[in-house]
Amino acid sequence: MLSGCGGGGGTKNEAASVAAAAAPADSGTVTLIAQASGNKPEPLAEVISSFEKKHPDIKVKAEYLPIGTTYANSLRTRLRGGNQPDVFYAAPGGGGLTSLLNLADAGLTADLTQQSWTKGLVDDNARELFYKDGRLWGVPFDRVVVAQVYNGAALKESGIEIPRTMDELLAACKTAKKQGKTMLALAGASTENAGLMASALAANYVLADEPHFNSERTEGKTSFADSKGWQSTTQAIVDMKKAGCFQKGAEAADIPQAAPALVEGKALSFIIPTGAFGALRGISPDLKLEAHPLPGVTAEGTNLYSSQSDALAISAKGAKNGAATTFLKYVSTGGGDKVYAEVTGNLPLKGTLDDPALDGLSGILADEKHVFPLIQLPWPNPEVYSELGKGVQGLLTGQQSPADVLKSMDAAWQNS
Amino acid sequence: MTTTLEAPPAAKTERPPQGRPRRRATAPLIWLVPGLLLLVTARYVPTILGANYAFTDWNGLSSVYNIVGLDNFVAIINGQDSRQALVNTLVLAVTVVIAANVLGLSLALALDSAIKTRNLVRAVFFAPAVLSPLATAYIWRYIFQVDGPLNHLLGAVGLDSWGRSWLADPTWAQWAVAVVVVWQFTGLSMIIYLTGLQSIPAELAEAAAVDGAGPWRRFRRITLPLLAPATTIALTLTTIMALGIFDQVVALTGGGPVGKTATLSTVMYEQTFSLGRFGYGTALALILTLVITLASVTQLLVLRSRERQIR
Repeated sequence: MLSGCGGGGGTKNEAASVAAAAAPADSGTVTLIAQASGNKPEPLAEVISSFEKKHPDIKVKAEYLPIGTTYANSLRTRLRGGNQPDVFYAAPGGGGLTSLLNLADAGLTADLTQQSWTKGLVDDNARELFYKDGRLWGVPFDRVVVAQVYNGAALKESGIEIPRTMDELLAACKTAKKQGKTMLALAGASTENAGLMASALAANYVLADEPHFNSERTEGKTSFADSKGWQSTTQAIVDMKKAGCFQKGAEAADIPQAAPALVEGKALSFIIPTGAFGALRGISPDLKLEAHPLPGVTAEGTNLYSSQSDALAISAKGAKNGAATTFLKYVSTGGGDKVYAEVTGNLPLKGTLDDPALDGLSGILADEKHVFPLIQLPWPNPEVYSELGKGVQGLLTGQQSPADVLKSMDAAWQNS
Repeated sequence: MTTTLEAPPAAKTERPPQGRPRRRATAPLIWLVPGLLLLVTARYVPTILGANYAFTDWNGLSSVYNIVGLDNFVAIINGQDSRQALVNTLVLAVTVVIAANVLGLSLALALDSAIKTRNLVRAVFFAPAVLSPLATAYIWRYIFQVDGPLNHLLGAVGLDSWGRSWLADPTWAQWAVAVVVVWQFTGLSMIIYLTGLQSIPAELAEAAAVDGAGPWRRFRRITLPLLAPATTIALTLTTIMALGIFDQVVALTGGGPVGKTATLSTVMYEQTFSLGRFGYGTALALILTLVITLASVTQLLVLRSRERQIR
């Protein structure tokens, strides 16, 4: 039975009280919880170490919890149960269990709007993910890029050129298959990874012609099932399967099975956030990675996800702790973002990273018209993305048609 | 000559002597009070209090929620995912209960002998029951993966075409899960049946053999009836465990492919802790509790009645 930690609930339509974050202070102790990244060393631990050198009178006590439902439910329990950390990791937007705007709605995050150092911090294309009712509820500390990441050595050995269009990608899949390799590693049993692959396709198929799909879906002007872009996205997965783009057994594979395929060169590429570079290099330090955009229908129509997609927030309890504000200020504007980027492979908030693995993205990253935030971040609940991830598995096993997947996503949207 | 098939006097329930002082009979109840209080306050009271969330749309986070009446139950009944999970749960439970008990009883009969290595063999068969379900499920996951030992074995004996992605195959995934659960439950039922077998006096079977009863008749007319108490325990326990199955499914398939192996427990977890639908998840938990209670109580009543008939 789910008695859980539901205490304190009520049916009254009470407005959540809002705490404003205190001004930065020079001393104190900050408690922090975040999801473990899979990188060694833990990137936020490196940021904290760097912060404490600059601010010797502030100590940060951090706790890293397993990514996914463990972190999400621990965070929610602690925020609701009176055991709040001062600072915590949150996902920008409003759809997920750790989504910043959901937590703000529940009165569990501090208002950062009045902090002068936050002005201009959030990109225009990510504003709706950090602000609600004109107030800022968390700060970004990196820029997440989702790309097709190649094993450079295996790619060179195969003699395959980087595909620039979807047709070229499908042809490359067939060539790789003949060589006993696969073009793409896919963790089809992982909702997160399968969903990310489909989402990366949607960047090209949906956002190229329907850049305002999310707002139109919210207003009920369109649906997943009616969207030509989404129809093409799901059909592309079927086409990729037919072309042999994915490894054998991809539908049953989890990330711990798919990632080594890239590292060992059995798969030539993997669609992942560049923030996973650290984890991949942890498996094989000599691994030569090359990130490129997942090709669209045409080279000119190819888009890329790059946006401020990770956030740190101050809890209602931490609002009184000026040291917590100092920590967030350092992470966003004092150089913490650069330390984080160097460990992970994500980009810092300003500028780029001196990593040869990212050279293939430099052109498109400078082209604002083709750079978007992840399409799923503003979705109203986590079920929509979950249905997308499950749908990829359903397409691979033949249990679902593209239309079935889109219908499930529309149904999940209604559960908001 | 005929053999009278009656349970030995020792097997009958002994009643306390009529003249025993009342004070001594109530003493054990007093010692039970602290444990009962702890159980009621730590388990049953929160469970009953938590049940009211089944009638709300609480998201597990907000301090505001609405009373939605029976909406969550209606959504469960109308929901394709929850209906499929209910069917999956029942199919898995029936398969596991039958297979684990038939295999457990067979092993118990085979190992209820005087062979020298019987204790070692019993330990080997019982080991899966005491191992972590998660740990063993991950081992089986490796066995079942597309380039895993099972497909290699099939290839080695010329059955390459039988190889498949077992845990993502819409037809075979639920049977693969069933194999793992049966493997894990068989040891437990074996031990229960072994205990039952060892309480049956050997003289009964020997007398029947002298009277000319063959092994099958002795098993059917003597062993099986006298195993009734053990059968009741084994069937009830495996039914309750199989209806609430969770760890193995999560570790092997996560409920996939596309809900083909999802059970009421995994859907309840997903809806509650992955999707934040605490009201819906609590309603699902109530339904699961009802299913387990109904199944186990019905089974218990039928089996107890059978036991009484045998006595």
